[in-house]
Amino acid sequence: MREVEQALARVYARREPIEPRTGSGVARAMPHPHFRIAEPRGLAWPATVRALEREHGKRFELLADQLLRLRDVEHRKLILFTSCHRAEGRTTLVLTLARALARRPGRTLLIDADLTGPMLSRLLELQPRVGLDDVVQDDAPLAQALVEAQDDHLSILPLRGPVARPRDFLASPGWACTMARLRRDYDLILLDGSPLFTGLSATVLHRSVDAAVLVYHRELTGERSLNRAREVLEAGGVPLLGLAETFSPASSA
Amino acid sequence: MWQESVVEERPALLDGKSRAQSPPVLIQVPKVHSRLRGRAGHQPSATYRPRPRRRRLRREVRMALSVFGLGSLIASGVILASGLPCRPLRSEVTRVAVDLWEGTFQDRNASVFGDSDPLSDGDPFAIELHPPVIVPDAVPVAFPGYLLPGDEREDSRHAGS
Repeated sequence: MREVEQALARVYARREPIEPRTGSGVARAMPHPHFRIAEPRGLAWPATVRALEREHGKRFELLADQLLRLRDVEHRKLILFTSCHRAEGRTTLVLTLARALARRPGRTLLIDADLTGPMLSRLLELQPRVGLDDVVQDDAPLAQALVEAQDDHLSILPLRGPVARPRDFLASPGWACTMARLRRDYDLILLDGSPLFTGLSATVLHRSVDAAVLVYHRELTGERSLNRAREVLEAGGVPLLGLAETFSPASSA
Repeated sequence: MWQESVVEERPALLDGKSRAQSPPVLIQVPKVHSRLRGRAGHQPSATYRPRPRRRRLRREVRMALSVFGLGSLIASGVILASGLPCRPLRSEVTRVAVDLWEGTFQDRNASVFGDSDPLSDGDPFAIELHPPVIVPDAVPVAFPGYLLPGDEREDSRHAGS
């Protein structure tokens, strides 16, 4: 599967990149006649993200620098952020990190890849008519689904809703093609992925990423879950960059 | 290169594993309280409005309430099955109570009317029955089409009216 994606990436690298139209505020590509897109004036960042940036912005700046260094040295562009369970602060952490990355040179893309419970569009108060699910499943143009926030220097690819069959979704050729195109067009891609253990359902793992960061709630996630998550990532061939601890005590340096 | 950013390694992950195998903690994010949450004009989304915390009674109280409720249910079932509320005269207690009440009722009547029974005694409540009056030479009234009983006693001048 990975060989196919690399071949696709090589093919797409020879083509012309996507050039979304720009304008005031948030710019998008020309909408498809069947999908009229409501143009948002700007991204409504959650108050928690702003508070995190204000109080602990240095930590995110440090992590952003490290991710960029990793991209330059080891050519790892697709970074998956996953967690063991829900409500561990994964999406908030990814949003804050994306804002830190957006202040640096290069094109950064944030993808809502939480196939079972997408939260990105809700948190940013986006109402996408076309999402990643339409691009992968219905062959909708990728440029319609991309939200280019010019003021924030950030691109976002939201999901419109939960995906019915996540495993088939990730194994589809549409997903591989989309990832290959995005890998070509962007310098760094953050995937806000699904939790590894969602109830009784099987693990949903994005194998087409270059590395993963495991977000865990300091008080809620136990040692067993973390070790199990490590095993799942190792079995899927996804290298684990490290852990991101949320809800830490305020005194931690 | 990642070891530079390790702020604090999680001891739980080091159990049974070498220190080199444990993944580094890239970032520690403390909990923050956003100031905008209480700002005027900030309307929280209805979808993500936190549910009010459901209060639960203590476990002992809940157990006692459940035992009490179950006992009441069983007791009511037993009472209904025995038929005690439906057949009061079969109960000795109920019979004694009814006898006492009837005696009290008779004593009250005696105090109001004296020893005599108003329903069987004489003059104030007596009903007289008068025998019917027979009129001689009465001509029965013939109504066309039908005849009423006792028409023969009507006056002949009203015949046909």
